[in-house]
Amino acid sequence: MKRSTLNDGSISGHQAKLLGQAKARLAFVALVFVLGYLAVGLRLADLTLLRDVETAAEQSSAPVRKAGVALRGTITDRYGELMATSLRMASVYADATLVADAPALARQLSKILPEEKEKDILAKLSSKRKFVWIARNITPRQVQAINTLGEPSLGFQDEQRRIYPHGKLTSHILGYTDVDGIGIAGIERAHEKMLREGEDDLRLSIDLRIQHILHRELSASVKQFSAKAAIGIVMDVNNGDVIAMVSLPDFDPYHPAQASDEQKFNRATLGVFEMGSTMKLFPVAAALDGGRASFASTYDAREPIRFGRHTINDYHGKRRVMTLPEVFIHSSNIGTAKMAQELGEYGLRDFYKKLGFLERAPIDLPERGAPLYPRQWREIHTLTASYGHGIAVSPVHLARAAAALTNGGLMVTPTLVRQDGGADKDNERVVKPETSRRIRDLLELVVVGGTGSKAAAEGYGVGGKTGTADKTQGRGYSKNARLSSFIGVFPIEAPRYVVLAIVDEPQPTKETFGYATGGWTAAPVVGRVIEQMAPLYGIAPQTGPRRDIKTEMARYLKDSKEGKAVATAGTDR
Amino acid sequence: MSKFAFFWLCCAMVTGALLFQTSQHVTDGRQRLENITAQMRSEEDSLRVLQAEWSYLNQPDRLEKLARQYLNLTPMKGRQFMATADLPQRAPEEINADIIAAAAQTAPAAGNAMPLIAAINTAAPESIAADSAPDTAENNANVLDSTDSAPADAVALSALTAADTESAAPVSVMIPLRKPAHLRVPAAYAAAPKPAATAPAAVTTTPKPAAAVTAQPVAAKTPVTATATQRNFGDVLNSLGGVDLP
Repeated sequence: MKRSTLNDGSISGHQAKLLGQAKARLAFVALVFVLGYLAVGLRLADLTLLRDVETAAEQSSAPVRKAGVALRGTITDRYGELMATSLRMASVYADATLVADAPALARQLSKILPEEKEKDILAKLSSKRKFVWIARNITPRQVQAINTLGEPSLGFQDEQRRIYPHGKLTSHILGYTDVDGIGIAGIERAHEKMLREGEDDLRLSIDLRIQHILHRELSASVKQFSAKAAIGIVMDVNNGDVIAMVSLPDFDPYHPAQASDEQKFNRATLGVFEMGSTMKLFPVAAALDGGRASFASTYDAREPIRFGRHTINDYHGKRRVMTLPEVFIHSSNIGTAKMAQELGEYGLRDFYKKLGFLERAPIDLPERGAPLYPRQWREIHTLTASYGHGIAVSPVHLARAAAALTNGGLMVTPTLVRQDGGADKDNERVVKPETSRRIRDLLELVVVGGTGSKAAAEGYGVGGKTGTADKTQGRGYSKNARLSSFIGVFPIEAPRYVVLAIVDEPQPTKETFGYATGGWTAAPVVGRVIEQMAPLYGIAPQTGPRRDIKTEMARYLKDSKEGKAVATAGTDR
Repeated sequence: MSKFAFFWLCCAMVTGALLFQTSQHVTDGRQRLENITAQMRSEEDSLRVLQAEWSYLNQPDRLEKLARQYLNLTPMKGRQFMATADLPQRAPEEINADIIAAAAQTAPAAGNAMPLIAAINTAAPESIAADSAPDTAENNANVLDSTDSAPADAVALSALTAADTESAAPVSVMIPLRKPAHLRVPAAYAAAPKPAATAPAAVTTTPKPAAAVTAQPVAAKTPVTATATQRNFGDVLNSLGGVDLP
């Protein structure tokens, strides 16, 4: 329309006023639009001409990347060797209503998927259902093969699957996940949050090589002695890093549901046992540390101790008065019980408390066994607990306490996650460095000339203590079921690793002359592990003449009998 | 007024064209980004698969079986080490002369980054074998490969250590204390890169999981290297076990 026609003729004053108003409104609206377009134009110029393209891309890329479903984090050993990872895997399904030639397709599929039976596939394809799983978690190669079939009725769905490349070897450490990929045991559960986020690798303190050696040697021992179970731990004495941890029998982490409870039971951390004589280490350390005893102290082991209805007797039965080192190397129950008695009513219990024996071991696994001990501590408990009965602790408790006694006297916190740096200087001191040195002398004596001689590794200084505990059966102790153990420390001159081996219910064999004690079953395991481990860790064998601890100790005892001042002889380093 | 409208029409058209172009650009970019992201994801996924497979192939159990089958290797024993002090001594100036002479020839020929190390290794068999093996090029170049032409001492030594008998006398007894016939290193030998590479490689470059095992025949010869060069015992150890220690 033209203005001239609008202005034409018969417009009265009122109408002219309305017209003016309308024009003003139009102009206003037009102005708004002009401003709007101007703004859009400016912004356009800004985005296309002025803005740096890369910064724009950077801003937008982050949310796009996040969109993919993160895979669960990987777990590696201390040197980065992969122990667990998650792979994106496809599962193949079919829309049975679209299948044209079910028998032919079933035959082709069964060739690609050997795990599935042709009969089953055919049944699924003929089911006329809209959605039916053909196979879960198939390999990329199988996906490709199925894709090349070009069958429109088949489809894939992305899923992730947890992979444990080392299978059984790491089963108790890593644990396993449920079908939704959520950790329900072991490290998988303990570090669930970190693993789910999947950003970084979780680096464990485990060394797969040592884990393998320990696993192999323990398996051999179980076989040789027809044992029920076996446990092994290798721990860094200075920072509590668990280098290897084995609990036999173990299970296939891919099929945890098929494993028996016996297999899934992590004996190394969850199981608690009456350890027997290996525990003698601790009353002896308490006696030496408290200044209540020295190497020259003597204990009368001629008569069994009768306490109420209990009789404490010796297994090896020397039946004479023995010095402290003799009590230790011959593993005299009578002598150790008397030593513990001298510690006072709660002396031994308090020392056990200091060593962490009265609470769960602070290791980063959900499977942590609570120790068993008498709530009402009486004198008889001091006597029996001194040689490892009447108190049950987990193997990791034992390894940790042995590490603390031999590393110079500082408590360690066992861990499965690699820590950087050495010993924590803030660790609680449990015994004096001097006591730690004496304990090492005693441990060396046991291997050089005592019950632990089978743990000797040629060229390497090893110290240790054997233990053979009768297992409880009903209300009493069994005569035939025992728990044989050996706790070894090396290099004994300046300990770096503690190696614990426990064989559960070993049966005596001809080769061991009818013995199934710790010295015959567990000690050789420790010796062999140390022999293979030392070269890997660059620990030099001693090639020169070794100090003769037996002679030194004998001279020391003789001198002290004659009252000479020999405060440090035999222990000087 | 029509001019005014025309102007705005032009503006709108230009703006529209720009807008269209930009939106196309963005669509392209997004497409590209998606492709790259998908590619990255698939690369990451295949990386994981390969890592898992690598780890699977590196199962210590499997490596052990393979090593037993193909390599004739066993774990090292404590008695296979010896201290420098137990080794027969040679006058230091002779050794130095050997090493320097070898270094002079090896460095330019082999282009080795560490001529001295290479020289140590080349110098080693020569000085031991000087008397028993004639210094023909073949003999010297293949000390490790050939068994028939290997120096008699080395064979005796390897037989002793490999025999693994309890009654074995200390290794040092078997190495006669000898003066080398001459200090010259044959050019053919010095230039041959093989012994320089193999001698230490068998011990030092063993991949991590296999580090548990060392070649018995090679281990038998390791002390020879140590003998001639007076290498620090600690160094040898570190090179064995310290492959990936922290």
